[in-house]
Amino acid sequence: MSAFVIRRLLQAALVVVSVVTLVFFLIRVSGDPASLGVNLDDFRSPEQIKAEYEDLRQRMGLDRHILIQYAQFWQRAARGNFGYSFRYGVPATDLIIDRLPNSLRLGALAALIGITAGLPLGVLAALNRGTIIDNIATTVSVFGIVVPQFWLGIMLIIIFSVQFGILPTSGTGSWRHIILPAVTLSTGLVATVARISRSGMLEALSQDYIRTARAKGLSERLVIGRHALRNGSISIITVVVSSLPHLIGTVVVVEVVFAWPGVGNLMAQAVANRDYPVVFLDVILFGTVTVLTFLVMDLMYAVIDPRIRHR
Amino acid sequence: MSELAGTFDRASERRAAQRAGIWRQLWIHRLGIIGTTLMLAFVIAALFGPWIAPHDPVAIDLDNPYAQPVWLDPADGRGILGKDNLGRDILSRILVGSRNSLIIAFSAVLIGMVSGVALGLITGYRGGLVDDVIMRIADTQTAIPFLVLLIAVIAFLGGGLVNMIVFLGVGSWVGFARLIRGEVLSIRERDYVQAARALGAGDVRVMFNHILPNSIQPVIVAASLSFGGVILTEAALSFLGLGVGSIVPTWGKMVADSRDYVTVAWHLSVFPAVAIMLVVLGTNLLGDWLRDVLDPRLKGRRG
Repeated sequence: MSAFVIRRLLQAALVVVSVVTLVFFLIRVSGDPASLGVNLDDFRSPEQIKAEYEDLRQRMGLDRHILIQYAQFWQRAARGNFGYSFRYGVPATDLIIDRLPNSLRLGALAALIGITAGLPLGVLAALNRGTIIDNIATTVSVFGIVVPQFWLGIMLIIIFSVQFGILPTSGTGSWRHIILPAVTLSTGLVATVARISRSGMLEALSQDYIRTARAKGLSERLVIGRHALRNGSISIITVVVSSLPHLIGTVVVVEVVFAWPGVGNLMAQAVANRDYPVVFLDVILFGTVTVLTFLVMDLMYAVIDPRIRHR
Repeated sequence: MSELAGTFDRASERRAAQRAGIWRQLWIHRLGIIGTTLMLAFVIAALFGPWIAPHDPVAIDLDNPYAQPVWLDPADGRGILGKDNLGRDILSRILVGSRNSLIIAFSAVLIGMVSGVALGLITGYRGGLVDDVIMRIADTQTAIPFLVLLIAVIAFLGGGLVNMIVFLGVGSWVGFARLIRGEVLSIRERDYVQAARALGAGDVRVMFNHILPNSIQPVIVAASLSFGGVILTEAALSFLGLGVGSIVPTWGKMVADSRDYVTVAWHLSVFPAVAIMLVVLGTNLLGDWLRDVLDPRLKGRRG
């Protein structure tokens, strides 16, 4: 077991290092980051601009060889220093840490909605196969897959904020602010969970142990809840976790639509402002979160299922 | 004897299915046919959009901004699907815009498919260090959320049609590579491959003449299914202002542009979005159908 854990940890670390390296060199290939950080206001003379540019290059260490820069980057990163935001002049880490809780709340609520709406939908569809309920569930899950989330967000704002005036259009403040963004973010998840739980339930219901459970005279509720559902729960968790990269991508879009002050919105703004240290750190954050989540999932599986450890 | 009877039975079943008539066949394959029809319609729009379009898609008509769709306001000179904030005909813009959206998606999937298949073939066939390195790169790429990576790459390297296609294509090689690698690993040791090798066929010949044709079917299905994903990603990027900037917008750009006017004119936003959803629906239905037709073993597996 410990050999498996160590191997898996090393793999995850390797992936994180590769992500950082990839983005680091991508930025350097793309041009001169110092030129983006210079203040180009009209009242400044070319000499002033040039001086600031040279100063910035030196402060960022851009005048050295790229491999030295790379080594220096790791040195600083080890101390938690990922550079300063061009726009706000504060450490990029501060900006991220400020906004991270908002994104986590949003993501957690979306995951909750995804499971609490998707699971019953899929189970009901499987139990009423071929009926109108099944058709409704299928339609909902197809819609969840084909709809562009940014458009859905706009429509929800029109319906619930503009027409009915029930929920706020954007921003934060009360619990009512989070409803529309979370619902928008959850649509893909609802669709996926519903589809997986439907097919998982159909497969479980055809198994011998279900027939045995019924033959024992267990109530239908026990058969479904304790036997069929429990055996399908692992695959549902797998699906929720493995949709994480896609969910994170959607977070950016949804946060922009609802002006939600999270890390995704921060990244979109940083891109628009060419605030590259923030973009860089955001990508590293998203990558690390994904890698760690997959790592935890794999380790959990290894605990549950001994066969995986020995592969 | 019994085996022969079985053969006869199956043959008679097949004849019965053929006799069942074209309508029954169509009903069985109805979803696939809907998907195919949708895709055909959009391909026709992409090819002939400028000639089919009832109006000039960029012609500005400031007398009729926000004109309603024709069934809500059947006055003359108003587009079938209404007009946008500058009085441009929405139907014409969707028809002409389909070319950009489909070209991007088609080229990107093609790039992803070709590079993914090539790398998957090599890693699966060779194994060893090459396999390790390429698959670790694949792991790294999947660790970064695709849209986030794309946003960063476009922000740093710039957008534009060609860049967009290349980035979206390079972003989707991993799925194809993993798929074909798995196929190759199982086919590599089959008898006919061993036989070809024994007859003196070289690596390239074995890979392309023997392994590839036998592992390509799931790739075609995956290509069809990933087409919709690329359309959605491109639309999301356009929405964030990172799409291809051109006079004739893509559907994602149309939805993004309509955002400021949604409270006065819902139709600016709804119709391009419907176009996006229909294409994505079409490719998904087509992909599911292709999978069932090409490989009955996988029937109903996805999801």
